[in-house]
Amino acid sequence: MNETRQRIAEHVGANPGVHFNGLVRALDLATGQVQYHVRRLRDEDRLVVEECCGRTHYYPEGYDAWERGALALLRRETSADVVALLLARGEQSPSTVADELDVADSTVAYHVGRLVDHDVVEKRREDGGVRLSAARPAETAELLAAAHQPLPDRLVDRFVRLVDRLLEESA
Amino acid sequence: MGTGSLLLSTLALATVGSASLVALALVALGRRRSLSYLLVTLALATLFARAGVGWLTASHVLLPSTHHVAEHGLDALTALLLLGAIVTARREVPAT
Repeated sequence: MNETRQRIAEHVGANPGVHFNGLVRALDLATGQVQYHVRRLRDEDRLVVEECCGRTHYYPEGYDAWERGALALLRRETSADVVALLLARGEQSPSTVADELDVADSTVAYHVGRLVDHDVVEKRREDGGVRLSAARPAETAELLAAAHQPLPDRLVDRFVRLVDRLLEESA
Repeated sequence: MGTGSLLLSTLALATVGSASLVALALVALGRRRSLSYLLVTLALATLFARAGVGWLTASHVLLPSTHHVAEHGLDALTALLLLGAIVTARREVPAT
């Protein structure tokens, strides 16, 4: 087995849902090298390649479609925070989530929209309001522990938090 | 309008604009009282300081060479303060 390919397979195994740039950065490889080996690994059924939210993510074998979608979303720090809060507190209204995490309502709406699309979070209408909860709490908690949030993505999320909050404050 | 008066009008605009931003930021800081808001306010204050450096240079208190170092130093400070604001923009998820 080619050594580089083995390294890529191991990195994907340890970081399920890692995206292309993350692989290139973490392993210090050329993009062409990663493309080539990823294709070979996929052809050998040693990893799964899947688009989610505009990015290509890589997974080891053994995660079903729901788990792959959830892992891709939980790599985003703010999505992970929303889910962690729902797991810790149970059902909450979107505005409570926004208050507890100190983020703008629009930030919560964006992340909850994606989490609902991928069946990670459930929306329930009650007395004219909306209640949010984890759709599959036990499995989600496991995936949340496995999900790794790379530093550049974290900083982008924090930048968005700050700007959304500043815009909300001035609105 | 000569270069001198153009410079003075630009400086006046920069002073009024940046002072207004700092005032708004201080009000927001009073409401939110978080570290990231403090850092954003300080970043906006560096814009105001830049205008101050401009006035000092225009009135020959600062040498042009000092002016350059001061302005670019303030640029670096602005960038660092905004990066600090971004890094501190997350509140830990409250436990149960």
